[in-house]
Amino acid sequence: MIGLNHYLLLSGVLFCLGVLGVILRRNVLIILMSVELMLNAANIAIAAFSRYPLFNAGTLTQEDYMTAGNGLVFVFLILTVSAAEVGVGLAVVINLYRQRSTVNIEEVNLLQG
Amino acid sequence: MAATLFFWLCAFLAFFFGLGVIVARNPMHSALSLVMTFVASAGLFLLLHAEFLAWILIIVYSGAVMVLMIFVISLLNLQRDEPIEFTAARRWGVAFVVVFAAALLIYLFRDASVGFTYPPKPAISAEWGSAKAIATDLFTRYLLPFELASVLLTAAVIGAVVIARKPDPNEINGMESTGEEPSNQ
Amino acid sequence: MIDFPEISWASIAPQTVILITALTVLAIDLLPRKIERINITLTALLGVVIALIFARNLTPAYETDFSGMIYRDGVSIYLDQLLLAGTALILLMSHRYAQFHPIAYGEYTVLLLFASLGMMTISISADLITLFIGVELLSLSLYVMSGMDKSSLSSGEASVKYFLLGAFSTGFLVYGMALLFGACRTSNLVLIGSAILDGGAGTPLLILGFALVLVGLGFKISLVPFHMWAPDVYQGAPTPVTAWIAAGSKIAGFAALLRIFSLPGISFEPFGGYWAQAIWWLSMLTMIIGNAGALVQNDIKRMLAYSSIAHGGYLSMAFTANNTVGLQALLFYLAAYLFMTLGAFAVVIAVRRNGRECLSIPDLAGLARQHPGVAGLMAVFLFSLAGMPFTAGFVGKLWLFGAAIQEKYYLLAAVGILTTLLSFYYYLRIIVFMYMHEPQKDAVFDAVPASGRIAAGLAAAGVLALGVYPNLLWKVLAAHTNGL
Repeated sequence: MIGLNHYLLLSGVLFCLGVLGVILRRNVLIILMSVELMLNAANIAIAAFSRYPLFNAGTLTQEDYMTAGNGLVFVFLILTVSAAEVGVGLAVVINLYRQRSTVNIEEVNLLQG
Repeated sequence: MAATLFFWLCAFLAFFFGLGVIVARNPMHSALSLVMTFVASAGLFLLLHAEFLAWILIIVYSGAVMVLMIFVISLLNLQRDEPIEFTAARRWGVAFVVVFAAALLIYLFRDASVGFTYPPKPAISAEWGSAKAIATDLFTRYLLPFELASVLLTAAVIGAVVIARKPDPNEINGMESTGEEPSNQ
Repeated sequence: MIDFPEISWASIAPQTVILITALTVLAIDLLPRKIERINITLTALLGVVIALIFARNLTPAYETDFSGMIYRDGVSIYLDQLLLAGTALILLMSHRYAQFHPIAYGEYTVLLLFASLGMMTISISADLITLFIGVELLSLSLYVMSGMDKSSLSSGEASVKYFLLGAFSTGFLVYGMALLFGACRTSNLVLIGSAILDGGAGTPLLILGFALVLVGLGFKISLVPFHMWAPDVYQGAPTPVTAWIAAGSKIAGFAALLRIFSLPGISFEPFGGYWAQAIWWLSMLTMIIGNAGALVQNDIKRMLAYSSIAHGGYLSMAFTANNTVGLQALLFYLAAYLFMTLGAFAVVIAVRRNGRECLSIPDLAGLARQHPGVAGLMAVFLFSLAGMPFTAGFVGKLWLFGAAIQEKYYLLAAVGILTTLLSFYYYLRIIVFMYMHEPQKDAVFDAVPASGRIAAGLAAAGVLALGVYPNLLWKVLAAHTNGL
């Protein structure tokens, strides 16, 4: 029987994988991909909470739940925003590459500290 | 029964390919692993009866956004990365994340005294999670965020073009040539 | 069958005007004829002024609008006006800066207006979704703006660092919002607030959600230990962009914290127990490390970065005070902080030596001899940042420390006073350089243009007015925060 806990655990694990990716990798594009992994984990969590709501907290009734799945709109907007963010991020990376011919974050260190 | 199997399949794929994103040496392998992670997540969304989101994830996210990323990786002609070296700061970061993940695990699998009971799976109408339901919400209740999201996309397009375009010669040399290095501490 | 939401155009009037202004500037910039920079600046300023007029005529409506997406209360009206004033000052500063640095000015102004729109969206939001879109609109615009100086290598580097750490913090923010949504089964901030008041803040899911949101927003306002990006980004970005990151995005970050942690009743009620403790530690660390870091800086922008970090520490002290006094102190100090930071940056932009920017503190040596007016204005800003009497900074700090002492956080207030005394050293050092050192050989400070004088003058007027007559703002604040 699959329940909320399973989805939350998976989402948490994916989130941690994303955080590890940002901390450990030096390639700017892979860092960006790890951030996308984190956002995807959040999306799974929200969708799971939408499907398996915690009725003991909150003010929505069962009837509301039948027609409104407003967590899903939240996920939709997060998808939109993160797509825009990827677009801008790739543009910034291209700019960096044009100036410094590298995408390794450790070689980009003119500003000390 | 089939649903349970499908869940475990998608969960395993998501985890495996998520791991692939962060450990692959070649950025192209990372990008392809991320695409597969999104496909697995789309499967999970299908299980959660959020079919519109599942298709949007595949069509827009892995179909457009990731293609853009793969395009950029090819454009920059990136090769294999060097292996990761574990500096002290990185070790602390990894330790912290492992502790956080462990805490999450423990919290979720303790018994019901923690804070939420195993919630019931409510009955839903057939069109919950369909395009119609999401569209109804999006254009009535969430009208303002929808319009703001379109503003955000405009800003992102303008921004991306401005930053990524080839600078003119007088943009680089400028009216003042700032050849000096920034002064450090 | 479809019920449309009530749309109240009046409550989003300032935001709409800014949006129209941004699109107008974009359209002007697309005309085939080459447009003078001054026309773009004037159009943008006109739009900001109109938006300010609308904002001043708003009345608070203490209920959510647009089916729960926005909440037009007194605090949001106040913040909107503050952010619009800041936008006007930044426009003046950018006009001057673009004279000497190659920036695509039309697009820069459009993105600047979009960033301000994002900030104003945060101040009015009543739902996690609106808040998130506002934060992202602001952040994306700033990531791009910090990289727009293509002639400078450090600008490109600054934008990459800012983007990576900003995206990382967005990940935390979104996951925190996901947990909040799950715990309260709604994304409406007012309902979340009342769910907490009813059920207590004990649910682990809720705590974890708030903690992650705090981490995410802590990056944006550069609280320690999430401050690592600030010195590099502040140094590398074009100076007016740095100024807006320092002033505007910090105000927006605190506005976001206010919206999440203190709707519906402005009482910081969810800030009982754990939260006061967490904020206590963050505030303490930020004040200490921010001030300590500024002591050793020679680059003006890096010093102002650490100074801005330290001020974030003083501001977050208000969150430990669980009452209206804390809120009023926070709002007052945000205004003071806006004026003095923008003023300091305005002077840094306005003053050039031998055709080059003044990047390090010794570069300012002897300014008083050649431009006594500008040096005097800079002295006002530095005194206010340090917290000398008769300036807005002094009154603001008094209020903040007083609010902390009222809640018996004596150690926190003591650390605040001690670090303020410490900060005198690095602020007064600049004044010493300006007034008592000889200018370096062959150094001639260029003429300061009108836009620079106006910007710095307005900011200084704000600082001194608030310092000498804080009642001006006190009455406004009392009115705005009394509705709940």
